[in-house]
Amino acid sequence: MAELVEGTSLWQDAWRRWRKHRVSVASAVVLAFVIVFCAIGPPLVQAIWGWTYEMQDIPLGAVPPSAEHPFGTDQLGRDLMVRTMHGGRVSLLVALVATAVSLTVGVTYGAVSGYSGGRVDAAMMRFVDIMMSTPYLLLVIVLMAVIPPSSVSFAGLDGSFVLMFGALGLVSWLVLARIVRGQVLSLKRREFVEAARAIGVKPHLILFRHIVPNTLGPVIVYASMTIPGVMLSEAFLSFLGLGIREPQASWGTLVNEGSNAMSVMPWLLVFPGGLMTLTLFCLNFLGDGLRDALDPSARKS
Amino acid sequence: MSLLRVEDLHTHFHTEYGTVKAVNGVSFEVDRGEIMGLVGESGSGKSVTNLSILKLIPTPPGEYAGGRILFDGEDLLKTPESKLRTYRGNRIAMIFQDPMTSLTPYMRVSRQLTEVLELHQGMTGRAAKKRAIELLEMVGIPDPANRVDSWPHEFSGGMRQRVMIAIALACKPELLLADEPTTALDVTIQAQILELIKDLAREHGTAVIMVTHDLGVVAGIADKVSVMYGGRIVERAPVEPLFASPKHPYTRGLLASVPRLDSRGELTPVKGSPPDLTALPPGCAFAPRCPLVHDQCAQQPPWFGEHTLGARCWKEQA
Amino acid sequence: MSDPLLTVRGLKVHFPVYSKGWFPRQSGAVKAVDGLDLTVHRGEVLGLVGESGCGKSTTGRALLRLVPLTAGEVVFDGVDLAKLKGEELRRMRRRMQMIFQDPYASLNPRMTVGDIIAEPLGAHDLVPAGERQKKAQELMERCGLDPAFVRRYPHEFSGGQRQRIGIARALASDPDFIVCDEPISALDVSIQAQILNLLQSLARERNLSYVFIAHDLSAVRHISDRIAVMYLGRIVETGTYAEICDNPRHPYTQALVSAIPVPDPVIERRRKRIVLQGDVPSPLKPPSGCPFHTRCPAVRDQRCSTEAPRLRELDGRQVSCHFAEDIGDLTGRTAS
Ligand SMILES: Nc1ncnc2c1ncn2[C@@H]1O[C@H](COP(=O)(O)OP(=O)(O)OP(=O)(O)O)[C@@H](O)[C@H]1O
Ligand SMILES: Nc1ncnc2c1ncn2[C@@H]1O[C@H](COP(=O)(O)OP(=O)(O)OP(=O)(O)O)[C@@H](O)[C@H]1O
Ligand code: SF4
Ligand SMILES: [Mg+2]
Ligand SMILES: [Mg+2]
Repeated sequence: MAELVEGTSLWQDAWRRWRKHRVSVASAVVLAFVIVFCAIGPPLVQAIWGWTYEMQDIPLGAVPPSAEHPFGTDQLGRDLMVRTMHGGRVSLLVALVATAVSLTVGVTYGAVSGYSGGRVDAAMMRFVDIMMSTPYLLLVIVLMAVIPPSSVSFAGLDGSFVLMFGALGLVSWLVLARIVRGQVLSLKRREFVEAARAIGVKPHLILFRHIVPNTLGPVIVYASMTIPGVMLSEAFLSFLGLGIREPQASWGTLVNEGSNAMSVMPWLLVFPGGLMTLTLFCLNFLGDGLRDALDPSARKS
Repeated sequence: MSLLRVEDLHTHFHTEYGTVKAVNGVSFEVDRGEIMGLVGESGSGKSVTNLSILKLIPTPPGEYAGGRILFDGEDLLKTPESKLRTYRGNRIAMIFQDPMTSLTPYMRVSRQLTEVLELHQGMTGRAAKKRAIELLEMVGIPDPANRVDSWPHEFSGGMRQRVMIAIALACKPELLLADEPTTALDVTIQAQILELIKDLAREHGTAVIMVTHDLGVVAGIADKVSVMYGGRIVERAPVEPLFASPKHPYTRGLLASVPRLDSRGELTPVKGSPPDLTALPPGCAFAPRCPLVHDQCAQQPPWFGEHTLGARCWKEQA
Repeated sequence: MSDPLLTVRGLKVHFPVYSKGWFPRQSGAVKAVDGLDLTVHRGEVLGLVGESGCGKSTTGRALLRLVPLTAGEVVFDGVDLAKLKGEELRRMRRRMQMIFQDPYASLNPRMTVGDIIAEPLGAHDLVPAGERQKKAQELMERCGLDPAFVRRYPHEFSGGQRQRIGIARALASDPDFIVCDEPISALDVSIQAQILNLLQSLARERNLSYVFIAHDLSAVRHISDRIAVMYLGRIVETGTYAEICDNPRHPYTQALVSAIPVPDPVIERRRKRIVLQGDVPSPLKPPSGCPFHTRCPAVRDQRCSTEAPRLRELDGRQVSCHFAEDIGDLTGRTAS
């Protein structure tokens, strides 16, 4: 008899496979740098140069990158590096919240709906349809009208900011719920799920050991595809005055401002835009790597 | 001279895993009115042989690496594509395994039939429709005049396969290539279809190559049989001697491994698994699984010699 | 062939068909199984044959209560499965297992072979967690797989090997009864015999009972002690393998047997076929009276189209045809 081996979980195995996916691992490292840069950057900058994201120097105005201001400054003389870091915090947080909500709420909602089937499924999906057909802006405006921003501010965050997260979270899971439900509906009829029932596997294990792991491929790809969209929605809301407000910044608002002054002050676009692009690139590769890692039959590269 | 004579045909596929020698030196002949059974396990190259005759292998990754396919004296491998097109569906017809996917779902059955008639026989309008109804009647579709305008999805699997056969028969082909035409069907429907093919050969003198892995089907319908293994024909014989006294150890293994309706003897399966077509052994492809293997087998591939019949096995020739 | 292990009476499985729309309503039912009686004895292999769509798989699933039963009872070792619920039913599954047709679809692509085979051990707490992989390896060995492959994934195996994995999984909980739903029809000819022999030797060695579902009567004859023939959701004839294959009485069984090709050209030439006309009717609207009367070569009078024949004893077997006594051998008369 051959040597004895332990059983492996999908996750242990996926981890082993993921580590072999070089591009994906490199992307994760770069992403980690970006996150650290945005997270601990502002206090460091303040300690070294004394700039904060709202400090203005109107006489100085917009200057190109220099030793004092590595990313340059904007028209109000604010340090762009600190603003980019600050914006990164907002944008990454938006991405994180939207992804977390769509992964937890969307996957669970879709899986339960698809697995229950029948009337429960019909009712749950009608709700998603209604949410999806409601214009998104209307939803945010109604939300803001009904809930005064000041009442929901917490942990030092501005109320409108919290509301925007709420609004993005409210809609970000809808598509994923639909995708997962569709997958579950077809997986439910697959023979290996029936085999699990025939064996006597407990129902929650059937859902979470046999069905959900088989939806992960499309889920991860979709999740990594929605992040740019969510970041842009945030910029759009902010542009309309419904999201974050001056002097707060996000990558979306910075890129938006930068593109207006692109020909005269290119650095205003290049730095926040470059960082945002880099982040999105890395997320994409990371998603690819995770998808392949979670699929044992994916071709080994 | 036979209607179809395949000589030393080689069809390869160039894939990332290496060159798949799917057909690796196949020769046989089929005459008018004759039904040849082509049997062998999955992956032995039966479908590729059939597709090669009509030059329907996608190139690349496929490649016709050698040999001749003489149809009525003309080498199809050298015939220009434009001329081949006038043969396909006309002088040479083909039926595929899957009746669910081989009819176009968005075209009425009548249109799919009249299209062939228009293309190859110049029949149009009422004449074509009338002929379409005749054809459906011929293949045993009940009430053909009313059903000719149905959509494919309104027909069951067996009926669709019969429509496919009707399309194949539309131009009274000289050669019919049937690739597992009954595998997806029930036995009672299979019986109908086999009768139909037999009648075609007897009455119209059509030559038929019947690809199947069901030895019972071969026994019932074929006049002669070629057994394929690993891209080669390993045994050729008229149907009766093949079943009564199979010569090649693979043929014997195959016969001993199928359960029979009329007895309950022990089954002795062929051991091991099919060969890897990208790395065929230099000698006989069956050597790793053969109960009679001896030294010579692994070194040199056995030949039929000058005979048109017999087994490709060293033991047999010794 | 002692006492019955499984007795089925008046089993019906109807699948509701819904209209389309926002809140769908039931508009009809597919009568996949429609009044079926069956007995399986301890240590017996019962073959179940019939055409595609006649309800064989649904019957197999209903025996294990994997589909909701519309009516009837399924008594397994004295317990009516139709009355069990939730956890009780799940516990019962240790003793009854299933082997599936499609060796590709019936294994979770994201689990290792070891985990797949060990799953029943965990589901019923039969073996402590640390020893399950070892037990899985023993089962692999018994089923003709190399135990060194325990950590591989299903896609790394051939069809025949995957079917062996499915068999090892079914054996893991040491069941008394296994439903084999076309376990060989997706496999290559030369592999079919290997699997058939494995199933047969396992049945002998462990005194297992099988319901062996197939549309290939030759394979069924090879492995079965008794055979039940199904048509449109009902049993039309049951008997020993020899009675069914050598001397069928029901017109449908006669047609089925006559249509099976035998790998012997001399016999084939002599055989007479009953070529049935038309196709199997839809289980959405099965014919009135005898379900076979639309295609029956022996159909007689109005009785066939109005009154459904019951499954009744006849010379030691069971047949469901009004005229079973006097239709005799049809191949002589209606050969085409
Ligand atoms: N387009 C292709 N590209 C690469 N390989 C191919 C291609 N088509 C066929 N092959 C290979 O050629 C070999 C012979 O295939 P073929 O379809 O002729 O087998 P077969 O005898 O018809 O089997 P089956 O009974 O399963 O239909 C197989 O190994 C197959 O993988
Ligand atoms: N879950 C389901 N919902 C609705 N109809 C179903 C369902 N399962 C099976 N059916 C229908 O019930 C009938 C019997 O199906 P079943 O799968 O039992 O047939 P079968 O005899 O196993 O056929 P095959 O030989 O093709 O496997 C078919 O008409 C099928 O379409
Ligand atoms: S009852 Fe009538 S229709 Fe049914 S099988 Fe007997 S003879 Fe045929
Ligand atoms: Mg083929
Ligand atoms: Mg079935």
